[in-house]
Amino acid sequence: MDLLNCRPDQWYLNETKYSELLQNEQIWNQIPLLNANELHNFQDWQLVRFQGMIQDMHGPELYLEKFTVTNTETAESTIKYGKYVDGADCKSNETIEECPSTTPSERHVYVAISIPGINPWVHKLEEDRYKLPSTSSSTSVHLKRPVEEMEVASATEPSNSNKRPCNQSAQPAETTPVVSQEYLLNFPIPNPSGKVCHLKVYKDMDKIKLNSICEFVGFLSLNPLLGANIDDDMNGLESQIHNPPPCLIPRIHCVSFKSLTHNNPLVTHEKMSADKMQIIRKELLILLTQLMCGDELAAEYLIYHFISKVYLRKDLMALGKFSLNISNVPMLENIDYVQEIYKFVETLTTKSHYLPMLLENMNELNFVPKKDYSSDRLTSSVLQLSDNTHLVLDETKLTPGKLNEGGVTGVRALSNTIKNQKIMYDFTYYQLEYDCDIPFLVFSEGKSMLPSDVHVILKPEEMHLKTFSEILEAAKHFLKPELLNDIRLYLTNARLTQYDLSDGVLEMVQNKFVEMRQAGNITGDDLHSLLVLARLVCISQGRNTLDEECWKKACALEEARKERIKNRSSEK
Amino acid sequence: MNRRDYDKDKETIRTFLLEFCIQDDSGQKNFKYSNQLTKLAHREQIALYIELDDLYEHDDDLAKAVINNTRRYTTLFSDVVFELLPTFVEREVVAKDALDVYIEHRLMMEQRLRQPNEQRDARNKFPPELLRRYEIYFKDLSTTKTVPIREVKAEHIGKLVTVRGIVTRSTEVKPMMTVATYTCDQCGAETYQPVHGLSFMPVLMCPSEDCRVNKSGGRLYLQTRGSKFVKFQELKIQEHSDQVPVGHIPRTLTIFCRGEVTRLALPGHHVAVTGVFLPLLKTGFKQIMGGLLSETYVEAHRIALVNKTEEDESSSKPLTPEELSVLTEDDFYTKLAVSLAPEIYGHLDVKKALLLLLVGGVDRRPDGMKIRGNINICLMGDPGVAKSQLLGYIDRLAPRSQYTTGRGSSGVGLTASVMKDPMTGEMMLEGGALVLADQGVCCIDEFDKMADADRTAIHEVMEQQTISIAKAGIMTCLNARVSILAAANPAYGRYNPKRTIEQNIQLPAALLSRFDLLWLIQDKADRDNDLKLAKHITYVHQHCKQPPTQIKSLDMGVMRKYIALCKLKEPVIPEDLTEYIVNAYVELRNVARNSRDMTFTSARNLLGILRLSTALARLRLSNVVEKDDVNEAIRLMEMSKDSLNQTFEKGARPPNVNDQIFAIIRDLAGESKTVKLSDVMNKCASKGHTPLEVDSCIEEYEELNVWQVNLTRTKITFI
Repeated sequence: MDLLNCRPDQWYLNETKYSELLQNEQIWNQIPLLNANELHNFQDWQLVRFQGMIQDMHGPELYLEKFTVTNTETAESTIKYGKYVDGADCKSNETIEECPSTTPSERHVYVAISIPGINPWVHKLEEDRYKLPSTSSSTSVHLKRPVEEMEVASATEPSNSNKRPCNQSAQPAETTPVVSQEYLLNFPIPNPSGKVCHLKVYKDMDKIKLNSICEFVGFLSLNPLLGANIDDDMNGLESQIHNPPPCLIPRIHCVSFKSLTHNNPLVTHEKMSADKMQIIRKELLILLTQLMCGDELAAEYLIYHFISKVYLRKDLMALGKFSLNISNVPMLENIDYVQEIYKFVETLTTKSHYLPMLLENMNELNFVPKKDYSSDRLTSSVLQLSDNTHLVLDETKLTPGKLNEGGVTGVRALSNTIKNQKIMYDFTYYQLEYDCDIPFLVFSEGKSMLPSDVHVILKPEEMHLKTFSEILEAAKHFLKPELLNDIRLYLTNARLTQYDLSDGVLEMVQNKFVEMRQAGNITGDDLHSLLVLARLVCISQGRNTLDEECWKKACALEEARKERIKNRSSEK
Repeated sequence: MNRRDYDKDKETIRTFLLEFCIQDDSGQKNFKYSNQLTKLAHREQIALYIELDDLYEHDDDLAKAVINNTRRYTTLFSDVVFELLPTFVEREVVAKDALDVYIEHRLMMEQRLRQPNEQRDARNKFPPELLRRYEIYFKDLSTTKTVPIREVKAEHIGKLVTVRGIVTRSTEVKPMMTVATYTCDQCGAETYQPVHGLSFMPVLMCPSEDCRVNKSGGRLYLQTRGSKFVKFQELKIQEHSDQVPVGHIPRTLTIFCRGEVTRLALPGHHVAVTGVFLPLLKTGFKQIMGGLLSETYVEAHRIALVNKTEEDESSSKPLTPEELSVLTEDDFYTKLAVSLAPEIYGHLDVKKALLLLLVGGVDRRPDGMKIRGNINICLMGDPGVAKSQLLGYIDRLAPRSQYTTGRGSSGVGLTASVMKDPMTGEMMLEGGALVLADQGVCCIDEFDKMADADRTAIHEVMEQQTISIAKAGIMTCLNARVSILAAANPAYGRYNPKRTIEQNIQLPAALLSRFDLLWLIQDKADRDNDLKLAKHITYVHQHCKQPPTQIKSLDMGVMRKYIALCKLKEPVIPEDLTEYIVNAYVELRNVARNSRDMTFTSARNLLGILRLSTALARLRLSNVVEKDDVNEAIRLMEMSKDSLNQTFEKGARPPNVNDQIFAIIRDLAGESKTVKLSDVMNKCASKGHTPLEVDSCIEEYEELNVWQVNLTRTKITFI
């Protein structure tokens, strides 16, 4: 069976067979990836793959799974299928008749966007791997129906029966869009190579959550008539949002999907050995120590920050969040320290975003996604990010000035997100809470105005500060392609490591905690963060269970970090 | 499926409309629908609401049929009413608008033109829609449940559904044509075209006999005056936040309102809509594309505004037997308390107090005096002892609550402010957090950070439960029957044992005495507790879930239902308990006088005990307060005092053995000046002091000339 050239009706008739074929990962990966290719390289009704984040959910649509098309001239009738297609594909002299005793079925429409904050190297790798050989394909995109055929105008009374004439007047889409492209695309972060799709999903709807990342396989629909904007009723804006031009936002009739835990194309089935992880970790530590101006402690914490994720939620508690605030950032001449650091973050992680906290940014950016009722959609914002997207905030850019109302809510939203890893989306009449998992990395001169889980005061060394530009050069050389890929692979692998605690170690931890309590100032929250840190120390070395060594290291790290904070406050 | 006999149904409908009656208290028969029909006939009423409850009583089969195929039956009812109406005209009908006059004229014209021998109803030629000036609506059975918007699916098409939601958008009310009337420019004949959809294709050529025969090709012109319009409005409603599954976007539903159903709701209103779920037939180009696709809408029959809180209560179904059995188990009091903020470890007594705050005591109004039943609680404590989490949990659990922080709110923001409306220039009263939380809980975090002036603003609320406003010509009194739950940090950030309680709290006594319970949550190192805490935390990390406790925590919904149930009770304190309470209070006062206690024992504490004990009785779903309730109330109050005092004992100096022994001896001596040494030894031994310690104490105080010991060392005499 030729899966790649399958048509929607063939799929419908052999649903189980094709689905089984799709289980095979090799076949799955043969399906062309929409993200890596330009839209004009595809044909209408081609099977494609799309990796994206669910940005919005529209209401359900009703469609007929099965219907008869009757030719009014020859009285011939054929049975057609409405699943995986947009509309009835029939000529002007045919009428559609519902098969008796079939109720309309439901499908759901989702808006999926290219993963926001996806880093260029990931995109490039995907392009290298999945780019279709360029063909002169523009001619092969053929329209189902010649446009002339559509312009047969005839007036018919709206009939009450279930016969619906399909020979009604139609204007090809020529209307000038009232809304801009950016408005239609609705990216949280501007993304020039990003794509948006409207997905029509027929099953397993409850598995799709907002902001989750999935890979979808489905039939591409590019029929330009879909975007036709002939609605002159009162919801002009809404119908434009819900029926955007397919050349910009294609439809995909989804036959299958799987949710992704990461978007690192380097990850394969083989697991990295613990020894290899140790070696890479050492290399990474060397690199980061240099970048942190010789501060190994900060470098350690940075590694843990990169591999952190929320692994348990209960009510207000989100365990595993590890937002890092690095303060006392050096202000160098000619070099923007934070931006230079971000360049490395960008090359190492799969998803990240750099946000300078300029006063105007704070005042003008939308931080909280808001439902826009006039166009009936969720207007995206910077904080609508998929899990594990590293958000780097640069507080050194903040200048004294006035925060307006938007800025204040923005700061509040940021700090609530850091504290609880939840965002209250604004639905005007009420707010809804959505879980998120965005590791924040805040660079600041003094302690950040935003809360953080871990605050590290940077201790730059004189030597490094003087020669920082050379260090940057050296670091770039140090990152040879193989090492770079190893580190990328290492970071994703470490994050995905399964981890558990044994009873023996726990007993040790409990006793240590009681001792620490006796000694002084430590609360239950500190124990939480120590356990989180111990976990990160552990998985960063490729181990699966906590041992005493990791625990001790975590304690030592925390002690050193707190010592710095204490010294800093006593200096004042 | 055999078809329903619609003619038979029509007969049933006719008898139903004519004969349905309810007997009122005096035994008089009230013909509900025929009375309305009379009004319809005289154009005094437009909408006729058929209550399906009534129809169900008359013919349950028919009622079910109506629910399943509402549109058809709307037409059937309409037809029957149309046939019946002329019989109900008792006096001459006054024309109310141009269309009435128009219809009358046309009917007369028809009659005049027609041959006298032609026995035909004159109205036949006109489409029925044009002549009908009434609207038929159905009111859903009161027993049917509302369908969540998310659950309204394809199988509901054509059926009557009731949904709830919040109106997010409403269009202007516009006229919509239901019958288009045309006149021909050649023959003058009138043509009528009923319109069913949202758009229609105008008729161009005259279909009349004259024009067709003569082939004169008469053109038709639309007549606005003769056409019939109805009011039309489109609403969008959206799911309530509690109906949205985690990680999903709230669903919306389009509602079409016609005629009398328009102008009933504005954006932001909570509504319950009864209507027919229908697919929207697309005409024109869209159909070709959509062909098999349709959008859906609900054609509204009835829109009722619902109060959000009211709805919460009514939607909460009574507790199921299983839930009740859990609640009636032993020790449900502890169980309920533990279920409060289960993620926070320990603090059982605090949680018990918070539970009582949620339930509340009973309000009393003897002779116009008002004694509040709401319980106010203040939580003091070191940073990081989960005060805010407790507050946050209560805020989420309480059906009505407001959460503010002291730093972020001013006195005006809490009470009420007078604003000038920018549009009209009128003065308006805008309620603050306390007013909005009326009959609920107001949680104030960081209470200590509030400016003093702002804090005094809530004195009135805490005792009188009202807010008086005298500003800008507005003098009024607003109800603010709230329980206040405040959280505060000690004055120096952390509780400082080297200072006195007053110095640590730094809140005026007037305010503190208004709190029924004042709790100090301290972060102290304690081996056993620490180990338990450590075990708890490590368990969470190990198993990714809360550790199993002996008491399984209850679901928030069950808690809410139970608390609502408790609030219905109004327990009284029986006569024979009063003396017991009085004695207990007197004892409290005595203890307070004798000790260096810095907390305040005043008459307010007596009221506090009463409030707590009535709340406890409510919690037992009992109508009478029992002795155990009082005991528990006193215990809680003492525990709350202890939480303050024990830190004091551990105060500046480490507990001195000598001091303790001295205190024992002093107590033993009481009024008399002498005390037997053997008694002292016995008493001290029972308190865990060795004879050696006692001896050293006696010697020390002897040297200080506090007392003298006789030579035989059997008696101590105070000087």
